[in-house]
Amino acid sequence: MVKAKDFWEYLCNELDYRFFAGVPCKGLAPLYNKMSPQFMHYIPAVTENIAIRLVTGATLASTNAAVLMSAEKMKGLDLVFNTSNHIPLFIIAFGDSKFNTNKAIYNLELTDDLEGCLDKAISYLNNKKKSCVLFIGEGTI
Amino acid sequence: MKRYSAIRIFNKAMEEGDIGVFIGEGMCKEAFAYDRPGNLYLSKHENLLSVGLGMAMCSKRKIFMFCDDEYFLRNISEAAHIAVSKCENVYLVVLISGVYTDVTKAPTIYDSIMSLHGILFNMGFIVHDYKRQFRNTRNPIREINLIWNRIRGPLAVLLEVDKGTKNLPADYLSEKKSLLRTKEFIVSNEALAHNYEPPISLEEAFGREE
Repeated sequence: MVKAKDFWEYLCNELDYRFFAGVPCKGLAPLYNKMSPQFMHYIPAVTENIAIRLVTGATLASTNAAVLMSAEKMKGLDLVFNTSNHIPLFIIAFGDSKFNTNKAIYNLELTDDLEGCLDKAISYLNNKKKSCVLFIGEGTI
Repeated sequence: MKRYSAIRIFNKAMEEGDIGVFIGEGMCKEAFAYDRPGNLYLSKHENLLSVGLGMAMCSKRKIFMFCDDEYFLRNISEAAHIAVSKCENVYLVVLISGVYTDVTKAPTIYDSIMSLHGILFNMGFIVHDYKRQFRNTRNPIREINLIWNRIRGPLAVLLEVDKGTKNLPADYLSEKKSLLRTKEFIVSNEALAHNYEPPISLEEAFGREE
């Protein structure tokens, strides 16, 4: 089991990801409870698509950013803008990887090796310039 | 005033380091005739005002977003996001024709809304309407430039324009090329950003935990 505090500490302080947008979901509650404006900036978006666009804008301004959402909402996402224009997205989603039907997005599941998982996701984003989803299963956080 | 003329005036009223995001097919065509290095043309997708807001939150540059009433009414929740963000470097310009300009010229619901100014003001915008102010001025570029240099956002500019459009070829920059250019422009030191601090200082917001 990964501690939410360790998750933020590694993602924000070590990997320098400090801009987040998303729509809250029950499964990510532990992460939301440990958020702090002292080390990160979070925007509660109206819809998942707006969260994605906000993060896209931040990425265009060369800021490391990520989306927080429920995996169940992945089907309704409009990712054509990002995939066709090669703007990589980092999505942190609660749920099972079966919800991602988009083959252009790399799937990764969070395990107890937090640092290894996050490093793998970030290196994929930076090297391949393609989007990546980090799925957080129930009870992992 | 024709939309084409309004776009020309607003395009020239922006500073060299500002970014103009033009949303919608017709808007992109007309804006490309007065292309600037800081212009971004987005025409094919939805929720594009949020891309501008994301850029504004993470850079010091002033971001001007131009859209028509058709797009604005369809994505009004994004305007709420812009208003509550309290970003001082974000400006939303809505060119209102009251019709679906690029498609059929059928009316939008704009005329039935009691006060769009009021809605935007209550969301948290500072609202400007240049219709009366520049009624007798043919080219108010300098005046608008002065206003935009002094005012802090989030600002919403509403301007009623004629229903007609100029017949221009759709040879404007592709979305991909335009985004690439903007990405380079944002971090470029040649066209300096406007000299003021962003709403939340980046050091303060993203500063490392002591």
